[in-house]
Amino acid sequence: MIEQVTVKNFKSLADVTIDFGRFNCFVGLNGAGKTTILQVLDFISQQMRGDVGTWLEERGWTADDLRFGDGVGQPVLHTMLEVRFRLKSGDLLCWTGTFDPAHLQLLGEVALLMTEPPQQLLATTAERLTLDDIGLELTFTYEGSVLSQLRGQLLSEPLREFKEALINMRSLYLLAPHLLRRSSRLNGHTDLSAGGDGLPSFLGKIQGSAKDHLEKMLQVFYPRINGFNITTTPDGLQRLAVYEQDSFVTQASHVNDGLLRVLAILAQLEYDNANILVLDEIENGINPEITEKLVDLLVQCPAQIIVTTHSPMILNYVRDEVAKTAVQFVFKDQRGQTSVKPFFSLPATAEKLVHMGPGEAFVDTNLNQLTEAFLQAKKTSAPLLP
Amino acid sequence: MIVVLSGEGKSDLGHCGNSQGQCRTPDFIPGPMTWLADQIIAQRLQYSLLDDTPFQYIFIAKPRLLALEQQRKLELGKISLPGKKREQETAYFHINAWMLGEEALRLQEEHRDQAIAILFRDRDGTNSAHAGLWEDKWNSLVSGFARSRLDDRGVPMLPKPISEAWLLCAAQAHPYQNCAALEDMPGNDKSPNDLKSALKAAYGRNLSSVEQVEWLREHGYDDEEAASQMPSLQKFRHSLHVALTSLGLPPHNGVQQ
Repeated sequence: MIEQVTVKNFKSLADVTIDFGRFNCFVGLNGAGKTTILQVLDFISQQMRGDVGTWLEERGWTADDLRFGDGVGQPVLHTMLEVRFRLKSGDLLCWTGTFDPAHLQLLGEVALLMTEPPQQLLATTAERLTLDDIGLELTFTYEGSVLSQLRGQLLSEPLREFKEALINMRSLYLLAPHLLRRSSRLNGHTDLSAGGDGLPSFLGKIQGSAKDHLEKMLQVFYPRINGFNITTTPDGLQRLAVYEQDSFVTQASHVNDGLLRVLAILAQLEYDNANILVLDEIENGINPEITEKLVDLLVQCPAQIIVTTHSPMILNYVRDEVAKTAVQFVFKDQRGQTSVKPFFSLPATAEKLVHMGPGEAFVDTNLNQLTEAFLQAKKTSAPLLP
Repeated sequence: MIVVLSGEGKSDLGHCGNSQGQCRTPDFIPGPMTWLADQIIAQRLQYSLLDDTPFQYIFIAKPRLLALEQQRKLELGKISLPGKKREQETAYFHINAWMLGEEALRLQEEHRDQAIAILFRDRDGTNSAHAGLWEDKWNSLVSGFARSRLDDRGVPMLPKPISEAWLLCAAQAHPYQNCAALEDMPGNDKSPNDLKSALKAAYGRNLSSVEQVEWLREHGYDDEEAASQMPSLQKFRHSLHVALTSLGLPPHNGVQQ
């Protein structure tokens, strides 16, 4: 599980450290940097896959678009990334590297097992790679992390677990109804893209009892739905259709947004080894009647969940003790730098939580004033609640 | 008639001497604001509930109100959102009134007697949790009572900025003079010239809540005169009269509220 991420110089994340728990919900005003946090997580995941160029291209960005610029002083070129990751063994792994936009590569990559004393698992320089005290010449070129180029067998167990966890991070932060509805090309990618493109192919992989189970889970949310089916057209396109109790068939192009989103989320959680799932504006298309079920699913599932929301309904179904740490307020200072603090860590918001639900407290709070209060607390070093 | 009371602490409506969540005489120790409310009720009844039938007061301590709020949080659909009918930063007041109103209606059933409820709040604007305007707070208390269905038998008691302003109006060197200005004095006791220090100076020393009630008994309180100068007291007084009228009590001085 990711416990902490520190980022320097990634869009509005000029210098920010974010703590994570099992369930994490980012809230804040438009433009505060919520989606940027999800983007940097996806960016970190991409380091483990390599091919950062394609990742940038898919978003219509260049590497220069990543850097923070407030018009004051010379812009910094590189982006610094640090991830603290809790391994299944209970040990903490600290991985860090500096992204060089010229070569789309992580420089000075280091992974430490934070035991006593710390144990270096990985270190890179421009020419050399040190892996478990064994030094190697770097004779190949790569994008992202050097780990993207190393097979699992070469890696120690902690590094392998870390790499797989980040590769299996599923970022659906661009999830869009029109992409979820789109037919997939047979024999194309079978992974779901950040936008939800490829859903029919992805669901097509799920067969037999696994499909029955997924359909049963879908019925928890939508009792009238009997199941789904993937059909292949003569021209090689895979299409999703949904069956209702009265055998009424609805093609994906006419299925409601909420159902498609829930289906995508359920499928990711159950059948994709997704141990970290990232979702933007989780409430989109979800009617209030199933909000509680969705929140319960996300809070209780074994995967690490990272979402953003503007919805008091979503937040109100989070238990108070979870909300105290899970609901994180994202805000910008006058220079446009994003900061993140637990929403209920100010005495004023903590008191609200005593009297009202997390969603009620959220929506009862003027977020502009809250931003000022956090900035003031930072200035005066006023203690935040633990 | 029963009068259900809930406040902030000893120095306003009073407290439960037995540390219970809910109490009546002799466990209920009334504070100066209960005495003031009792005086206004007495004008309609022609006798004092505190003196003659004090068991008609039921005090709900803050922990009990909090427990009711916790229960609400678990009930689906009992959610309060800001909107056209309620401003941001007022949910605390709204929910307080809502819960007290529901409890008053429950006590009404239990005691088979008509209930009114008085909810005292005087947090000033320096607490950012409740940084809304006085009018917004008042309206949220009214809407909270409305949501509970207690409607106009729920009475907000919301001194501006704190209850000491109302008391100082009578206790100052020149009683009932320039009391309107007291509503603009700082309620925060960390401020210079704050109301708490001014009241202490007016009394000559720090009086306990019981001693403040004795002071009021001895010196009396011209609520009509004070209310004519202090809009927050006027609003309370008017609201209390409306509640008493809705119980069918005869008009005050021949004037139906």
